[in-house]
Parts: sequence; structure tokens; C-alpha cells
Amino acid sequence: MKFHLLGDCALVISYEPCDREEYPDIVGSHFNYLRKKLTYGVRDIVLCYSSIGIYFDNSLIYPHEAEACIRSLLRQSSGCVGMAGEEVTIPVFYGGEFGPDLEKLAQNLNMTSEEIIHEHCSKKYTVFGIGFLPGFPYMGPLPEKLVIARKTVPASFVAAGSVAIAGQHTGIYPFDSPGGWHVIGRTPVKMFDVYKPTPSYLKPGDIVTFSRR
Amino acid sequence: MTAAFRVIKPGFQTTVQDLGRFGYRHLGVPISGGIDSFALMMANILTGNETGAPCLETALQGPELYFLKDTVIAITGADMEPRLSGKPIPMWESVLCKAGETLKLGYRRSGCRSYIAFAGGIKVPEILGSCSTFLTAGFGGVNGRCLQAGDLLETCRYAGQRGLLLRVVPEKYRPEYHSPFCVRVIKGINADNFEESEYKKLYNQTFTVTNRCNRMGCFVNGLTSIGTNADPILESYPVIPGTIQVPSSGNPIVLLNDAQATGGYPQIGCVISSDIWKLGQMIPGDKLKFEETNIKEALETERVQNETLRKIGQEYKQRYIYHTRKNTYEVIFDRTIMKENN
Repeated sequence: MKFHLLGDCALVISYEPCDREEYPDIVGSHFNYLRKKLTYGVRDIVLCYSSIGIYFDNSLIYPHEAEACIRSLLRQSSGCVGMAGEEVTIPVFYGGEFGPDLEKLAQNLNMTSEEIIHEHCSKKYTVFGIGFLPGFPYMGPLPEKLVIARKTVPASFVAAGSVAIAGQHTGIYPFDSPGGWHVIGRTPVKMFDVYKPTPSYLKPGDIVTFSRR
Repeated sequence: MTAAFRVIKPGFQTTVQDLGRFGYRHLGVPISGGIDSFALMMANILTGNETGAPCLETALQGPELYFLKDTVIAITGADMEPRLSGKPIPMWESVLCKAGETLKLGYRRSGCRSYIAFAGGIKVPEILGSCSTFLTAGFGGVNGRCLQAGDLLETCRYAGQRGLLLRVVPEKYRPEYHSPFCVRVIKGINADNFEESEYKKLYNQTFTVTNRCNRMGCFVNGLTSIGTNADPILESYPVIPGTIQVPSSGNPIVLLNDAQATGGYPQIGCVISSDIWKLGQMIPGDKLKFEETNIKEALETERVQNETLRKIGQEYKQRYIYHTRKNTYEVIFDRTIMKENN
């Protein structure tokens, strides 16, 4: 566990990349615990794949004080539970106009498009965090065969509902936006609705499977 | 309740913004809010509002507004040569716009974003705790979009306009918006992923702002690109407005208020909070220089900036909500008249 200063009003706790399957338990339980315990001067707590971001008001909390406080809090956090998620199935239309990057990706990965789709549908993914855009789920881990770097320059337009992969992750773009991930399909599911009591369709800890349509 | 004004021409990109949306970044909701928060807060002080009341933020080309009732306004930020019924009006001062008059802002002469505050503040519904517009996801402000011709906007009730006129921000507190912009930077969380020689390239060259420059972030180009030895499959990490990411193209991206809460490109540095406003005043073609600093200096500059806001708020002996750009705590100042401001 390492602490890094993120600018002048946030801290990042990063966790050693040990067993990837373990992340949701350790990082998730710390995230839940901090969300319950940290209130004064803290504006946001964000869960990432193997890190937690803590955003605070630097006129109330000095960064060095924040670190000491969080360290001592986490020492008391043993036995705190991780995230309890639900199983969710998401329908996806793969390839063609819905997955503009699929064919190029197949060339780069030395696979056929069909193999990529099959691999992508064959696993259950854990939602490690929501970020990038409202409701954008970081899900993984991806099958080893599909692991590929992000685009060198992000595309300036990715359509809402796009299902994409990059690194160890797969994700869904909730809105039209720029994006650096490889788009392989699209889902009609609305990932974020600001007028619902729980605006985000998925939450950390959920288990997701993709079904081909 | 009748509307305060009608939009005749919306300008290039005019949105409702306050100091931002906090508490939802874990769902991927960015903070949004006025990028030049200093100008936004000043405009609110001039119109007797809480510093974080919803205002209009307008970029490059300002709007044309027709007033339906007497309203005190103040314009700060970029100079767009504002005119009221054809006559030039001052910026950084409170101005009374009478019913039937037209306020017209033109093309920016310096800077990029102007802020127009209205006594009482603009009345739009709060979404997830803020009135700020987030265009990408289409919520906040006026139906999650930029203003359009024909929009009718209301302001919240204001007790009285007495004492609101003749409010001025002294010249010495008004920032200048000139290229080259120089912003101070704290070492990024992935700074170790850059060789010493590559890391230094951030500080020993001048960057040019490209056309990919909006409320989410700003792509800048240097003469030499910055190489990184980061794993191209680097994991995503939390980011904040001001974070400088270097994708494999080697040209930095500086994130702004509408940017995501997490990002996957290596983070070489982070612009300090009290310099973010400069990033909001750059336009494509402007020059940008980064200067290395530390947390101590960052906190000190922010303190000085807040002190300026406090001083001017105090001068007008108004009930002044101390935001430090957010909604955390409240200081109500003494109502005794300040005789002297230095």
C-alpha cells in the first residue's frame, strides 16, 4: 500500500499488483470502510482497479495530515466486508457499425473476430470501479488473449452504449464521448440515468456477463 | 414568476455553472463548474450572491440577452467588450440592466471565458447537488445543454438591489489573460515512469494549445514529445482537474473540470488548484509553460487567492459563503463597515 499526492487536494492509495482476483476484496473493503468513516473535509472517495482516490478540501485538511489519518483508520479496518454485488447480464450487438474497431483488433491480436466475440462472452467480469464517465464500469479481468494497449491517440467520438476493451479491462461508454478503448460492440442498456435514485446501472462488486444478440 | 431575461443569441458555448458537483465522482460524475472559479466567485460577490451561485459561463463568443425585468449583473473573466443597449459597460463592476435593455457580448479580445452573474443567481434545478451543466452526459443547467436562442431564464428572488450598485473589483485584483500562460505543477503520481531527461521536457519547453481544447481537457503540443517507459497497459488511476497525462503520442493532455475521475495514461504532473483558472482562459494557438512547484507553495498561493476573495467580499459587508471553490463551510462576516481596504 503506497500513498501518493494527487495535485494539492487529493491522495491516491495504490495497492501492490499481487493476485488480480484478490483486488475487489482488499481494495473494496478499504473503499467501503473509508466511505463510512471519512466525512470531515472529504469531498469524494473514488475506487479504481487497484487504487483509491480521496479528494478533500485542502483548506480543512492538509495532505500530510490526511495520509496519517487514513493510515490509522485502515489499521482498524480489519474484518470489514468487501462489496456484495449482483449478477447482471448485458446484451451486446458485436461488430459491424456497432463495433468499428473489431476487425482491426482481430488483426492486431492475430485472432478472428468470431474468436474475440467468443472470448469476450465466455467470462464473468467483476466491476472494479465506476469512472471515466458517469456510469462507466471498469470490468475485468479480461481473458489473457484479449489484453491489448489503449489506442495511441484517443478517438474523438465513441457512441453511447459502446462496449470496449483495453488493458485488463472491458467497459461500456454510457454517453457519446471521446475514448481511447477499442470498441467491439454496443448495448442498448442505459448505463446512467441521473433521475433514478441509483443513477448508475452497475456498481462496484457486480458480476457481469455479456450475451451476444 | 417571470423570467429575468431572454436569450437572443446564445454565443459559442454558454452554460450555467456554479462551483461544481461534489460527492458523485465514485459514479464517474465529474465536478464540472466554472473553470475560472476566481472570476465566477468575483462576479457573484459583485452581485451580492453567495460566491458559488449559478452564473453563465461563456466561451470565445458571448451571448446576447434581452432583459425582461430590472436586474443587477456583473461580468468578469475574458474581455468580450460587453455593451448594454449599444453602450460599452465596464467589467468587474456591478451594472444595472433595465427591463427592455439588451446586453451584448462580442468575440473575446483576451482570455477565453467570461462569467455573467445575476443578482439572486440563475434559477435552474439542482441535479446531484449542483446547478452546473455537464454537456457530455447532458444534465445540469438548462436541460444539460448550452443556452439556445429563445431560452427564458429566471433568477432567484433577491431582497433588494440597494447597495449592489457601484461594486467594483479594484484593478490590482483583476487577473490578466495573456499568452504565454504559466502554470505551476506538482509532481504526478506516475512521475517515476519517465526518465529524468524525458521528465524535464515538461519544464524546459513551451507548449502550444491545440484545437482539441474544451471543458474536459486541453491537448497541448511541444516541439519534442515526451517519452514514457510506462507499461502501455498501465492501470487506470484517479485524476483531478489539472492532471497532466502523457499518452504514447508524447504530447500532454491537461484535464479540466468536465474530465473523468479516473484515467489510464501516465500522469507526469498536476497543475495546482489555484492556477486552474489560467487553463480556462487559453484558446487554441496560445502558449503554455509549466513550472515545477511543491505542495507548500501550492497551498500558500491558494490561501492568498482566497484572502483576496475574502477581502473584497468583506468590503461589501455581505453575508459571504466561503467556498474555497466548494461547499464546505460557512463564514459569516461582521456587518460593520470596513473603512479601508488596502
